[in-house]
Amino acid sequence: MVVELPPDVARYIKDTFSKLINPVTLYVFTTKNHCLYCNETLEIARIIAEFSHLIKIEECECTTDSHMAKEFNIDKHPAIVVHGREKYGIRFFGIPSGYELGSLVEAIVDASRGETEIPPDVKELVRSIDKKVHIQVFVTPTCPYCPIAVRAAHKFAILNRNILGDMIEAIEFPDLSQKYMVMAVPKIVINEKVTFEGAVPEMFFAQKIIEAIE
Amino acid sequence: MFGFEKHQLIVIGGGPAGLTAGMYAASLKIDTLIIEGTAKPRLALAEIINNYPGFTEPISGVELLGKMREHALKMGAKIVKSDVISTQLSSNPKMLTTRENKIYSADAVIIATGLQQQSLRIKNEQKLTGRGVSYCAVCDGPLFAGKTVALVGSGEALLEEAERLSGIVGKLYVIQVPPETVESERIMSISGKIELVEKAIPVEILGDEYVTGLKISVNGTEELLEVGGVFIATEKIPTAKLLENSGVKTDARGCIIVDKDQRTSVEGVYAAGDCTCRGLQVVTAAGDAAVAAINASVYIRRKVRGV
Repeated sequence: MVVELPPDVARYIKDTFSKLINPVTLYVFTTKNHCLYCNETLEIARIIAEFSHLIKIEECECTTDSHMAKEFNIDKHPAIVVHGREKYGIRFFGIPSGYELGSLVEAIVDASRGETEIPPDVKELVRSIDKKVHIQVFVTPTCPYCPIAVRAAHKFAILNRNILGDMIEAIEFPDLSQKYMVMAVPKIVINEKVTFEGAVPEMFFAQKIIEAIE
Repeated sequence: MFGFEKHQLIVIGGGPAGLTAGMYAASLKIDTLIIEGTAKPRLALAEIINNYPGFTEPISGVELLGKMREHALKMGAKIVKSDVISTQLSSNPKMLTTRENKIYSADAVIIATGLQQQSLRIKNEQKLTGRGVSYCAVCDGPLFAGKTVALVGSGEALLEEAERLSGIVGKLYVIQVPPETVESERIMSISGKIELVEKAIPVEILGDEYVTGLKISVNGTEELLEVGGVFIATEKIPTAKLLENSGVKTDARGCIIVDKDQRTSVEGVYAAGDCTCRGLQVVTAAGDAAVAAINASVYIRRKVRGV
């Protein structure tokens, strides 16, 4: 698969990246030629990085038991971890293509700025979380509703370092999709305890996190 | 989280009608809030729009919506993302409650809630939604790659989803429910993977936790289709639930009745776009929304002056 950006998408990325202020590092984990979309994921990251001198790529063509993969707790490929002003828990497992390209672009901007747009009451609630939270958002690249859920998980990860927000492309990880019986997307799994489907308001999502850690 | 906010005008809906109404009203210096729902507007699903004036090159629905949103914000409209769950539209001021229990009040309201998918009310349809029952082939279709699934619906929506799913699944049972407006040949010609079950009535979706089958009745005889998923594809209907008990009159199909000034049956409440079932085009939604915004603005100014 050759990755090509249509002109309107390229324009959108260029415009969006005008908001970058701090450097951003994309840690890209692949096992070249050995996973479904490893090569394409790396290509997407490289193409994205060409839009701004503030974006740097750290490639790790490595297995999950390598030092760097362990450091970032990477248990599957391909993966992209987005660090910016701080080391945030923003991760993408599987190719961030289709509608999810927008999730990646916007996560980069948030990570660079160290802030995100979210209603004050949701922000307060998410910031108050003092336990470890792992959010897995299962998506398909053709799902127009999925980025709403992915963005929410990543926004929460910006607000609170206890939160790890993962986008997981459901088709690339059939075992995980089977494990969590993903039959509709977006499907959200929080701490293996609370699950729900759909693009829900951020407050509803945040309250589900509270439910999962109680 | 409880809260209260007051505006001169509230627009419900973040599709082309809602964003245009918000943009117009804000440009007329009306304090305007757009409450966009959490579900994406129908326009977001359009891959290409090639008949919107001024755009000589095709533009995607998502991009056009983005531009409309940007325009509304630039003109000074405020936008929040939430779902309005109840309304008191006959009161003065009008009151709206969102899912987060936040209460909004306004002198005037423009309803631009678009269309929503119609449930077929098959037994267990609601219980198994998200567990094998889906209303979005473009979203969930890839999860059923190579599997046997059923598609139940009517009209052009049925054809579109049959085309989409037959490229993904292993086998597709298609069941057309009344009104049966699509010729069987058109359905069958889409793909060899399709088995059209004619004169069938869906009776029950089977499965405790997840879909395992679909029970149908063909000429009074019950049959079982062993399927892992049931996709529903019906023509869209207006978001009527919101209007229950609000006093806003709708027709038999649930379409909001408006006059030439986009006024509904409730004073100070206007409607535009697909929820009125007029035009059903982006350009007509935008045009009607502009009319609604102008008339709502006049109404608000008269109220301020006490006329």
